Amino acid sequence: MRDLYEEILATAGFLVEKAVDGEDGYEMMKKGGYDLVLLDIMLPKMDGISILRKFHNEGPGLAPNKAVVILSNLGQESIIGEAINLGARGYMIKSDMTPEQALSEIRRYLSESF
Amino acid sequence: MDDSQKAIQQANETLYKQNFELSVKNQTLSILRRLYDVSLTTADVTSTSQKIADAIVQELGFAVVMISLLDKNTKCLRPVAVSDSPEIREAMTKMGKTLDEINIPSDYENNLCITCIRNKSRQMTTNLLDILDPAVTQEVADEVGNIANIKTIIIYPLILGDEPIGVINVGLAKKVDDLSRAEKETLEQLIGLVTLAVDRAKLYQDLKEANIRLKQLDQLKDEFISVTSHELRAPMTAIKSYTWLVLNSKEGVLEPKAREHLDKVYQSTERLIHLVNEMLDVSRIESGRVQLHPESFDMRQLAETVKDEFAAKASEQGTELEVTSFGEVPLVIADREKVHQILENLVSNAIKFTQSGKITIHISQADQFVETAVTDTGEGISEDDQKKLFVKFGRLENSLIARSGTGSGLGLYICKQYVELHHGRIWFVSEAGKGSTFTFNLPLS
Repeated sequence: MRDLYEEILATAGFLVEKAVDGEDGYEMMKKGGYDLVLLDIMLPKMDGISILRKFHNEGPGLAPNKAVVILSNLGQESIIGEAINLGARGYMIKSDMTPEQALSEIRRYLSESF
Repeated sequence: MDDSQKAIQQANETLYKQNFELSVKNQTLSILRRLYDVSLTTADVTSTSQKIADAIVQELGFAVVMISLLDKNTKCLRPVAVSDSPEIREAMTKMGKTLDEINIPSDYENNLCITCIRNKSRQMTTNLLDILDPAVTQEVADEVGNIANIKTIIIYPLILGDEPIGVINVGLAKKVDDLSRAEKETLEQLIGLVTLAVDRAKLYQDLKEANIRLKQLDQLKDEFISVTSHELRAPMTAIKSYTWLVLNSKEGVLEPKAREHLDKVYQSTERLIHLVNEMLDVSRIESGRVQLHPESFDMRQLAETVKDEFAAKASEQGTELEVTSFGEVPLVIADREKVHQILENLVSNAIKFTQSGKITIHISQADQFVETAVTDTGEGISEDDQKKLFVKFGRLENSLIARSGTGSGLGLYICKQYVELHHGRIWFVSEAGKGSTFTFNLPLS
């Protein structure tokens, strides 16, 4: 699925970097500098909520990146609520969007964070 | 001693006997009352049995009372309570075993309790070993009997309906012949009440345990649905998205036939995703996990949004779709996303059953509510089918054959649950052949 979103975003002209798993994603987010991080919940090695919680507890928050948005197929309200409480800007359910809708949502999040 | 003295003595004896019987009757009443209280106020089997055993010993002055119940799982007769007294505590210490360790297999021939259960009849013995075998030796049984001052043991079966559920052992400090008729009667009367009290506690405990198990199962089911739906959504998203990319690709033109086929792939995937989403909704509704996020919004605006969503589909099949309202309609306070889903569902149903004709979404105020009515000029719903509408999986029977098989039968059920969570109401009017109107109301802002 990462390939799909990479393709959609790259075709639209964005610069995209992919993490291979949760731990890799955490390291990349820690380095920071991204305008938008699309974070899934169910990930190999470290899940998305744990990543958010780690940033939350460690202090710097999600500051090195302008915004983190959850992009997942997991839709439980309790998990969505937790992600938002831990600093995620929003939540997108993959299966409910066409690539076009995903792109327009991503554009909206980007424009909000500038 | 002359005749008159004899008569007086006789009268005295009779009086004494009657007095004694009266006092036993009093005790009987008092113990029955206590047992009744125990059965009403105590819930679990162990403490109910303990209270019964203690009450009988205290009220009737017996040496010991022990209650044992049949355990269907282990096929053992298991003591659940023994009356508490310093002597009994000492005797138990001497025996060196806890109650739990005096299990008697229900096919063990040498134990009188087992005989009592098999024959469903009262048994009696002067040897304590007869009720403790094979848990202790004769030597230990004798010692325990001496410490607890037990001369006779009467074993009564506890029988419910026709089924023995256990026994009650009553240990006496005297011989059985020394028991008065009244005392024997009292004992006989007690047994029925003891059976009922123990059974009630057992039922309650079983129910409680079953309830806990059900809750655990329900949670497992929810977790299963959550995780499975996630697993299902991932490949469905891939199919949906890549199909979309091909259908909307600017490079190259798809053959018309190929486009048509891919369109079908896309629509089917959408339906699958919708189905999974509905299953998730139902799972949330039924476990009480639905959270409402109420906000004020304009119902007419939402209706326009829904109209736009379905405009293409409606015009494709030649159905007119319009939004109307009556006068100025105030804002509602509700979870916008859920109301969106309700309206989408009603309009989608209307389109499904209105091949050509007209669908109107009408918004109006009625007292403290805003009413939204979706009216179609479609085929309507027969009286038989009307009963199944808001029921889970209540798909209309003839639409099973007639339609293309879309829809899970969950949509209207979900609508009703969501409307009711908002303290609103949903209803419909329909006439076969003429069309239907589905209306729901939501409280004003």
